[in-house]
This record gives sequence, C-alpha cells and structure tokens, in this order.
Amino acid sequence: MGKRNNAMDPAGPVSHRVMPMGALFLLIALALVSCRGGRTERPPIHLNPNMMNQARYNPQTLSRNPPDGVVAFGRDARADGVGRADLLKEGPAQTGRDASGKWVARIPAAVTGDFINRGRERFDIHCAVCHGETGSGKTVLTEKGLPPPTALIDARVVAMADGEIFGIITAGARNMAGLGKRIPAEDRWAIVAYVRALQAARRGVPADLSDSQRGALP
Amino acid sequence: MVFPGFMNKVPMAVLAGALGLGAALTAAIWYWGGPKHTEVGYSPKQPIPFSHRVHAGDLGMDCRFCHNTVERTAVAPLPSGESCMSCHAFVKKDSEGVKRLAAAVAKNEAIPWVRVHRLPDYARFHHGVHVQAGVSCLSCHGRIDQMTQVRQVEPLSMSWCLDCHRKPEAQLRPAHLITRLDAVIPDPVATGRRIMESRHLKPSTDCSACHQ
Repeated sequence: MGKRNNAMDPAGPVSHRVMPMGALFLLIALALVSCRGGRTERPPIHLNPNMMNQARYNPQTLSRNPPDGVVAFGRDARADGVGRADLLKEGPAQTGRDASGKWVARIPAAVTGDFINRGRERFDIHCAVCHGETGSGKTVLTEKGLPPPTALIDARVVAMADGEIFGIITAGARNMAGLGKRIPAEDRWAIVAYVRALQAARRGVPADLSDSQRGALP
Repeated sequence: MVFPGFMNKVPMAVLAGALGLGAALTAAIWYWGGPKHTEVGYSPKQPIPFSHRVHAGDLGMDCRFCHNTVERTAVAPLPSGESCMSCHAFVKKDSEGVKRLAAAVAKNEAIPWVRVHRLPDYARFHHGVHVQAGVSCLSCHGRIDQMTQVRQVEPLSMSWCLDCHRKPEAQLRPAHLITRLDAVIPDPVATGRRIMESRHLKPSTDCSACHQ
C-alpha cells in the first residue's frame, strides 16, 4: 500500500537486531575456546613460579667446570666405554676376554629362553636399525648412504667366539660405533645369545635337531 | 525531578554488567589460565631441526635407541652427539643440521637443545618406575613419532598426574608395546587391570610420592 507500518522500527524488531549480535558473540567465543593449548614457540608463562627453578643442577644441563682437585668418576669416565659398575668387577663378563686375553668362547651366563628373549628385545632396539631385524644387514639406511653393515648370519660371524661378538658390540668395529656406554654388559651378552639364535634360524639344517624335534617338523 | 527516568535502570545495569564481566573473567582465567593452555602446545624451535617423525616414525627406530636408560633411571636421557654420528657420519652428511652436529661433536661441545617437557623442580618424576609399571611414552608425550618438531600435548599438571594415579588402568600396556606408539590395545581397561594385578601396582596419591 506504500504506507509504512508504524509499529515496525526502521531497523526491524528488537529480536532481529539482537540475533546477529548474539551469533557474532557466540562465534567469537567459539573461536577463542578453540585457541586453548595451541602451538606456540614461546615458553610457558608461570604466574606463580615459586621454587619451580631451584638453585641446583638438573640432569643433562650445562654445569660449571669441575672444582680443582676433583676427578671425574662415573659410567662415562672411561673413554673405552667400560662402565663404572664394570670397572669394579672386571672379568670375562665385562670385557669378553679371559685371563690370558683371548676372547671367551661361550657366553658367561645361563642362556635361557628369557635370556634370549631379552636379547631379542635389546637387539631390536639397538642393532636392528642398521643390521636389520633378521641380521641380514639389509635396511633402508644402506640406500641412504650407510656403508652396508656386516650380515650377522655370515659364516665369518658364525665362526667368531662369543666374546669377540661381545667385544665388537662394546667397542665397535669398522664403521660401527661402540655401544658399550649405551647397553649394560648383561644385555650385550643377551644380544650375543640372540645373534646366535638368528644364525641358527637362518643357517640351521635338520641335522642340528634332536630326533624328537625332527619328528615334529611338518 | 533531578534525574531523568532511565536513571532508575542504571544501578541494575551496573550490577548486571559487573556480574557478567566477573563471570566472563572467571571463566576466561579458568579456561586459559591453567596448564591445559599455558603448557600444552609448547613447541620450541631446536638448534638443529631433529625430526622424531623421520627417526621414530618412518625409520621405526625404538625410543630406547637414543633415550637408552629410560627403563632404569629417573631421566630419559638425550643421546650423545656420538650416537647421532654413528649413522650421520655417512647419512645426510651434507645437510646443514648434520654439519653443525658434526662440528659440535668434533669440538666436544654440548648442543643447546631446548627442553620441551619440564616439571617444576619441586616435583620428582621417575621415568624408569613408570615404564616398568607399563605406562607407555604415549600417555605423557603423545604421538612423538608423528611430530616433526616436538610439541607438548599433555598439561603435565598435578591434577593430570593424579587422575592417572587414581585410575591408571587405561594407561598400562604389556612390556613389548611400551614404545610402540601406534599399537592399538584391544580392551585397554581390562588389559590394564590384569597388569595392575600381576605387577601388584598401587600408584601412590600421597604428597610425598612426588614432593620429596
């Protein structure tokens, strides 16, 4: 009719003005809520830092130079990787060599199923990265430039004394760094046991088995 | 009449405004003032851009290859530079980061890694105890194996610690899956309950357990 309805406010009823405002407010609130715990390079802010940072040295933080007249003593004090606990009772189980300096032929520990399983776990952690889970020496790293590591199932390794394999794990060989600092001696022997198990699994022949075991073969 | 009529509404408006503002402020501090916001999300730039995604994820290296004493000691140690160089003497040796690493190792210098997960000095946490109990790395550090630059995903607050100390079942795993961050545990609560029984686990909620 061309005549304005006087009951209508020019900007529309109140509810029409409040609705977009409310929606906008809700959107802002939602956007803010999603900000919680977002990625930031800035360190956390602590409003009440009481005693959070105490006057002490935490592990693996930079320390001052040692005071005069003090000698370093600890697992890593010796450069050849023989740890402190090993130093206190140096013997074939810590060095892999017998009294005459020859590699010990057999693992100086009881080789049980648990021991070999422990060796498997440690092998998969520390060795499999380069030598492969089966000890084949073939991994993706050789494609990335790593010189091919020794295949642990090679006849050369099979012929080694247990002590020699232990010695190589401890001090390294060729391009391999020694792991003596990183793996306790007992675990290194367990790894030797598992390497022997890998070799047996790969190179074994039916003649290695007892009669009853052979009978169980499929 | 000294005041116009609308002035009658002013006291109520001021009161409502103050209440609303107070409520909003309280809500904001409650929501953004705690560790779920202040701690979570911290992802500092490291001096050498080391990628856990490549090493732990793509290459499938076990967490314990580098953090080697985590099962025995309080601290999960950073590896020595020599550990890195046992591979990086050959692999990617022309990259900027590896060159800096090699230079630091040659000079016997520490690499100033920036710590991401940090508890206050008055709280003691022992990694070995938790790993031996069956708590996976995942529970506190998240999917590190998917992070190019490590980021804190859990608040590591006291209430968060206590939540798990009171109800640890869902966070416990068999020993062989501790570092398998991608493993799916079929019935985590039942599995956790079995582990709790077999290992006689009774997580302490005493103050002195952590504040020694």
